[in-house]
Amino acid sequence: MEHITIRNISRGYGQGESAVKALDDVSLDISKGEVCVILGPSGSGKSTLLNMIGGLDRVDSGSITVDGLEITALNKKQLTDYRREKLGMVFQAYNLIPELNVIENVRVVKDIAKEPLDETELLHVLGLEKHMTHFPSELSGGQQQRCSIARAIVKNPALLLCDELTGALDSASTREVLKVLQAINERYNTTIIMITHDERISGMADRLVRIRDGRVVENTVKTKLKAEELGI
Amino acid sequence: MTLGRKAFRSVRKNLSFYLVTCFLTVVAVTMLVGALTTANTLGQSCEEIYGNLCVEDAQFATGQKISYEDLLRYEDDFDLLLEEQKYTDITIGDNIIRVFSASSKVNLTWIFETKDGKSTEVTPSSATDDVVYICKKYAGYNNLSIGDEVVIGNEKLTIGGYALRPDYLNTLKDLTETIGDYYHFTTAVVSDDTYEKILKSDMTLTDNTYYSVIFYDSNNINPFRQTLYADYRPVEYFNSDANSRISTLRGEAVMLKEEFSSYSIILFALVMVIVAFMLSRIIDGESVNIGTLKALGYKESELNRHYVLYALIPSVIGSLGGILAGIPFSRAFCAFFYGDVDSFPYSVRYKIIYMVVAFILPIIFNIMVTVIVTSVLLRKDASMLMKKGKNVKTVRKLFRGSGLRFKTVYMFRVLIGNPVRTLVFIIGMTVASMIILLGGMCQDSQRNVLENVLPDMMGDARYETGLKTFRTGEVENGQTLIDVMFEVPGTSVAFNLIGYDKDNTLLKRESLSGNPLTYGEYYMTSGAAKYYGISAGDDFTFIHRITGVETTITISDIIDNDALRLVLTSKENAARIVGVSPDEYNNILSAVPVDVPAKDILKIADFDSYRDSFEQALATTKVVYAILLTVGIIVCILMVNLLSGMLIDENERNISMLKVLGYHGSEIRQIILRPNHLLLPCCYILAIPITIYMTKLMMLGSTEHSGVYIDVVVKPVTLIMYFFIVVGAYIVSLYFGSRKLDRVDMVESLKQED
Ligand SMILES: Nc1ncnc2c1ncn2[C@@H]1O[C@H](COP(=O)(O)OP(=O)(O)O)[C@@H](O)[C@H]1O
Ligand SMILES: [Mg+2]
Repeated sequence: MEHITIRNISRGYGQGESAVKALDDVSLDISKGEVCVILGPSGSGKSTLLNMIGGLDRVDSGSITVDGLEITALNKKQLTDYRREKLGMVFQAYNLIPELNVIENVRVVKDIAKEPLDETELLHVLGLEKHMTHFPSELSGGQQQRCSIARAIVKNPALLLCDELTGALDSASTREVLKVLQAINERYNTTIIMITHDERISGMADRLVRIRDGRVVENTVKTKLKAEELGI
Repeated sequence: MTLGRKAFRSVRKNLSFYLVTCFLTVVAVTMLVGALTTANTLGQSCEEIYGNLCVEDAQFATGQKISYEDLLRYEDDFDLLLEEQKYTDITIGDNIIRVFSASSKVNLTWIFETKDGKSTEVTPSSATDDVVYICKKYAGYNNLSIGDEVVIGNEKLTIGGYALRPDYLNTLKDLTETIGDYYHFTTAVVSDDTYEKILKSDMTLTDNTYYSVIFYDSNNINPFRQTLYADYRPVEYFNSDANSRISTLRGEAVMLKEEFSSYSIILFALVMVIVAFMLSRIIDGESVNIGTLKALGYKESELNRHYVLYALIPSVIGSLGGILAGIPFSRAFCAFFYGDVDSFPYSVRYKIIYMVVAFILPIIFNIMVTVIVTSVLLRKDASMLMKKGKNVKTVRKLFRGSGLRFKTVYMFRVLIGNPVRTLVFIIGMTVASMIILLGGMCQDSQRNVLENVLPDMMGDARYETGLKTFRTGEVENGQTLIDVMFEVPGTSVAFNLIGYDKDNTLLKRESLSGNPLTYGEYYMTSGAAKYYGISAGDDFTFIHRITGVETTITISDIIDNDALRLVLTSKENAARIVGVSPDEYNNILSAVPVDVPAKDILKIADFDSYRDSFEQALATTKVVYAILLTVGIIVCILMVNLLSGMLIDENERNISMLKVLGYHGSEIRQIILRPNHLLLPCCYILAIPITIYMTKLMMLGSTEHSGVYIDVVVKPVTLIMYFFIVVGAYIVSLYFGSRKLDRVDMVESLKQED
């Protein structure tokens, strides 16, 4: 059985003149432990797709099943439980809680996780051991993103969704962050869906999906490269 | 102007801000209009009744009738009006009808309703023979109407109409009462001839007389009193301002004006704080737009005008609503105050000037605040304003490495991160708690008087029989006292000097210090001591009400008795100060009624009726407390709603992120709104001492006319109960808050990038 099954999902925004079809009949299968990179230009519907897999947004039609759970049929509370148990999410804008320092931001998730990892150890792995009591406003972009990754994976999620996570980072930070993701994928067999408009990142994918104007235009399984080999 | 339209559109966005300011303004304006109108109505009513009906300035009783010649001589010599007042008390079952012979110079009668119709104009009327005029309230309670026959003495009389005597506006049987018992007591007026007929028809009736006087020249008051004292040695002398039959309504008008205008000022101040705070938030949030507008060439004054609209909308709506609500409220308020006295026609007197003031005041206040806030905030240059992003938070980096739970540190950092918001919440909730608590504390304090102070105010005595004149001789079952009222310079409140025998057992006299009393020294009751601010060892100066002679004594100790204002001393001391001999007395304490001829008795105070009248007075204040409670609860709900809304607005991103991370609505509510949870009990605790102080002021005001010193007493049960009410109101408003929290959209708010 496939880990994630996406069948014919569509989603439109607005009405009449200004109506936009963000996703148009998208179908996709992703296996357990896969690193799936979704590539596409800005406005092509990548975030919309990711938000639907994450249960943040509803589909107009079609279905999404994760580990046999049809999330498109869940109510609000069930969706929350789904996110709580299965999901880690990382955004381009980090979205750390500014009132909390690094370790506290991570504990926000650890507190509600069933089998959490040790947050101190995790922050060591992510190279934030010296910044545990720093507030987001006192960190560089790369450090903030690493913190938000730590927050996403401290619960050891089955599925990690990353929306343009390197979009705001310089090359060195990008390399660091990608390395961490790859390590997590190998160590915990975490399924990772990463959306980006950065072609270079496609190298680390087991599966490469291209979308344009809300439609899947390419879907290939390939051999992945190490993060160091991506040429970033 | 397009900018103007923006202010109106923002109404929806800042709905709770508009609701809070509108509501508070409505309440404040309503209270102001109501208080001013009612005070004006009461004041004018009193003026008309007292002026047109020639109410007395003072009354006194003498042992011996003043001769006709003396009467004329006094009037000529001292430029005054003096008239004998005659009445007899008729007992019918449980009821007492005090029948007066209609007077012609002082305390005239207003017959405002007869079978021919009603008159609303206050004019003195003359009484027809064989007809009796009674109080309208008594008639109502006893199913009597105009034209009915009643037997008074042994005379059959017809009820000719309803009448009012200005000196019995508050129709009290005894001056020790605070509220008239209209079920069982009424005054009645008959013509002079009919009065004589009634007296003749029943030989058991007593003809009581006292004198009422009106002074035309206040310089003559003291010389007259001294002459009178020399000639007739009056036993009692009452100024009309110490006579609660006359002073109650007038006193209430004054109290009402002071009390309620200060309540509305508190509310106006709260509105100003909220407006200032909200406006600075709105301007802060829009600073980029403002910067752009400034760069485009909008003048500061134009922008100013735009923001004044924000404050103007709620204050105009609130003022208008307040005026509209104020009209029926004034009517209800008048009905409430007139409810204490006998019923007679009055019209509520609205005054345009009050309406205008109440309408304009909040508008002026709010414009003032707005102008100050905007001129400070808009003065910055355009580039500075444009740079300032939306939702810039200042994060206080407290407890950096504390290892405390993140929820706890989050709460403190949020509280301190926006100190102004925290302060507004504290002020708002403290005021709300205070309004809610005020009624409870007043009730507790009054209940305490009823349950603990009154029962032993008279010691072991149950009856106190006041005599018209001093006399000598034994009284069976009774213990005699000298009891004379004295004035205290600089206060409007008198006290009684009591002279007792060494072997008196009925007079309550335990000292607060626990030390035994020494016969021959001076002791003051706590009720008087608290009022005059006297403690043991202090000197105390007072004035003889009739002769004007000053006496200074030293108070040795304070007696535990809040209900009465007394100075106790030996009969010898009292006799010397009063100017009588030590074996004379004018008051008898007893456990059972004493056998004294009715014609010698001035008044009998019995404990039960005193207690009853106090209890009745409490019942009428309940309405005020219910209003306070309601207003407090609404202020509480609105304030919490306003500030939870702010917390949610400020933390939209955090809320979305928590939702994404898998937190449920209730858990998020816990985290985001917890800063308020913490403040709530703090505000409540803060409100307690403030409310105690306010209650003290209110109770002191009521002491002036009830005579009982009311200590502020707060039962823990009440504090707990009212805390639950505050918490209840808080939970209700959290419910609204949580709906707003649910509406925060994850995708939308995470999209906005820094
Ligand atoms: N909430 C929304 N309302 C209206 N249009 C939206 C909304 N969210 C996304 N869109 C539109 O849907 C399309 C896809 O957006 P998105 O998924 O964010 O693209 P990407 O992430 O690939 O840049 C865009 O044209 C965007 O304008
Ligand atoms: Mg996107």
